[in-house]
Amino acid sequence: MKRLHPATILVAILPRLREAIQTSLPIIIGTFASGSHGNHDWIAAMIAGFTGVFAVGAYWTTRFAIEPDHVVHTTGWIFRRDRRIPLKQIQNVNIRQNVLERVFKVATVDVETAMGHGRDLKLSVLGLADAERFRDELLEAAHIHVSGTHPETGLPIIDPPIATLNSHDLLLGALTENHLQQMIVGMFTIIGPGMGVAIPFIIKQSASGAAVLFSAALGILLVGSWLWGAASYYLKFGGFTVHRNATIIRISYGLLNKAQMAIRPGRIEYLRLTITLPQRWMGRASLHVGTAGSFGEAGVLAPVALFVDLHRAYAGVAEVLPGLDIPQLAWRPFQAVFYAAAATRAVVILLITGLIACGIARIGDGVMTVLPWIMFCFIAAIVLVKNITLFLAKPENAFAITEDALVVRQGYYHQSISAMPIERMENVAINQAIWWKRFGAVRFTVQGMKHRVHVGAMPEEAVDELMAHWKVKIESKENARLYAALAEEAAKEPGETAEAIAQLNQS
Amino acid sequence: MNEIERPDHNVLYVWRAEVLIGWGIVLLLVLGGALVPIFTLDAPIWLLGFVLIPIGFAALALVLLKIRWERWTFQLTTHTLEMSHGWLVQHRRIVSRNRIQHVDFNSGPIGRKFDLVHVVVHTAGATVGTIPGIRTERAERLRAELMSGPKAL
Repeated sequence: MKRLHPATILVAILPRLREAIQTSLPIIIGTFASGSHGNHDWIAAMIAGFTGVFAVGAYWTTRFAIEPDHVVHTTGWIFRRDRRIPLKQIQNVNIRQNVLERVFKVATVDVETAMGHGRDLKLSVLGLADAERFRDELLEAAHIHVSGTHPETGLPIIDPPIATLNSHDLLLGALTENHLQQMIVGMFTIIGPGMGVAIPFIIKQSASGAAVLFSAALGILLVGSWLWGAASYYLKFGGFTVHRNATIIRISYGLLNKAQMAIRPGRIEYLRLTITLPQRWMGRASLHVGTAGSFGEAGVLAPVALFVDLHRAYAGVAEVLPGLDIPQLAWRPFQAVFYAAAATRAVVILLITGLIACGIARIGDGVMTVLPWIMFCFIAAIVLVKNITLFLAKPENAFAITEDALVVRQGYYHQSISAMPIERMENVAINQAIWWKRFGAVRFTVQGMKHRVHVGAMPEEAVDELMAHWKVKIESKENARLYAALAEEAAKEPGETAEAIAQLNQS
Repeated sequence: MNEIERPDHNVLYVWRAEVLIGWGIVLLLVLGGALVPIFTLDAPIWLLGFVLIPIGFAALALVLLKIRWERWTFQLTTHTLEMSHGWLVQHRRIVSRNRIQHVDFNSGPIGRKFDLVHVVVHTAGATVGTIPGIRTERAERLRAELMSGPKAL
């Protein structure tokens, strides 16, 4: 059994310290508020004592080892935990380093299995070289050869990376990528305190002044949060590199916090090609893949190509899911009822919010006669933009079914092409509203272990087609298993099972 | 093996009980909310009319339960389990049998009285569905059928 790196104690103290201060905050505030200006050293001593004990405990009690079929991880002293993960269940192995860990040249290793809610095995922290060795040993034990050394000659192989991102592309990628998510998060963190400061000020203005100020604040917020998104993209994906061999894809990136991922290509169950509007003008795209596990803090998708030429992205898709040639796909558009439903929804939302705004404006006075209408305009703008883009995307919104995959293309500002191999499909959900029946259309979702692909409106015959492909896949898999089981038995008692295999062949 | 099955007819009693209990609580709350101001604040008596809302909803739900039962079907085929239900919006769920990880039984006191369980089907990724009101004997058989055979990684 191996142990963690001694730097664990130092690295573990910081987050523990934050937790300890957070939990003891009421005591600290209480003692200060009670006005006793005595000696507060005992609080500091207790916090330091607890965090120290935890950090030393984390280092002292954790052991891990790779056994023939399992990886074993034991931790804890009072409450012990012994976890064994079968090697064949491993989906991804990730190494990541935050800034503090980089200072000490150590790293955290995450091992992910299917449906991992976060990390199934977390080793924090190992020396960087040890972490990489552990990752390679783990994958080696699972019969996945990382480049490392040649299996016969024992000489080290250094694969050239199949993808990198130079600083010019990194900057352009950061500026052209879709930052909506970061924008929303950023806006919510700023909006709270910002509103507290701004609203009393805005309320004092005249109605028209308030409207101008409100719109200006909103504009600054939008641009600022978008720039924030671009900056975080730049820091996150700086130094992006991908290595690949037959059994593993290795990805590493990060300017401040470094992340390294090792993915088994056979476990990829989802693939997403994204193209934002400016990227479409430049002919660039990004490609992400997902397995049944997650990638810890990096999310559930791993980037395998960022801001690459479109044809290279297509080649990447074909490499990840062999035989999937995106330009050659027979795209079928979503049915018209999909757009009719969206338009109806938009009208209903606008009517309801309009009525509410009208009601509030009638009851209120002063600023309250204008503010509801500003909010209504804001909501209306979002609904309109969403629907206009939906109709702009109409010629491109489509799905395609091949023998091996379901592919969906949708979106205008941020177009995404998602694909799921039929082999990895776990279940299928088909929903049909009664008034969709006469159009022969259904809402269709396929789910893998972690990811899902959704088609807004699919004709019923396409569902049957996909189901037929799925059945073929399940059957071939089932038969492959039967053959394997029979072959195993045949090794023990040859005569009888040879007959059974012959029968299976006939059927 | 391939016939289309549906939940046991007695599941209607379980559903009716659920509707009555749920809307019964709402009814009591509305009744309390109306009676207190009528007696203490001399509020107008027509406030009592609000009790018609939960009664109406409960009546509607009771009528719709029959349709719900009629629309609920499931079918076990060689490789899949197919569940279908819903009237205004029809839901169909098809699960590959080799992906099913475990099958749970849930039952409340009323369900147990009629020897019924709800069968909950899980795959590695999600809870894919609940088949309501199956007789225990059939449920046991269903579980054995779903759990047999090889499982995918």
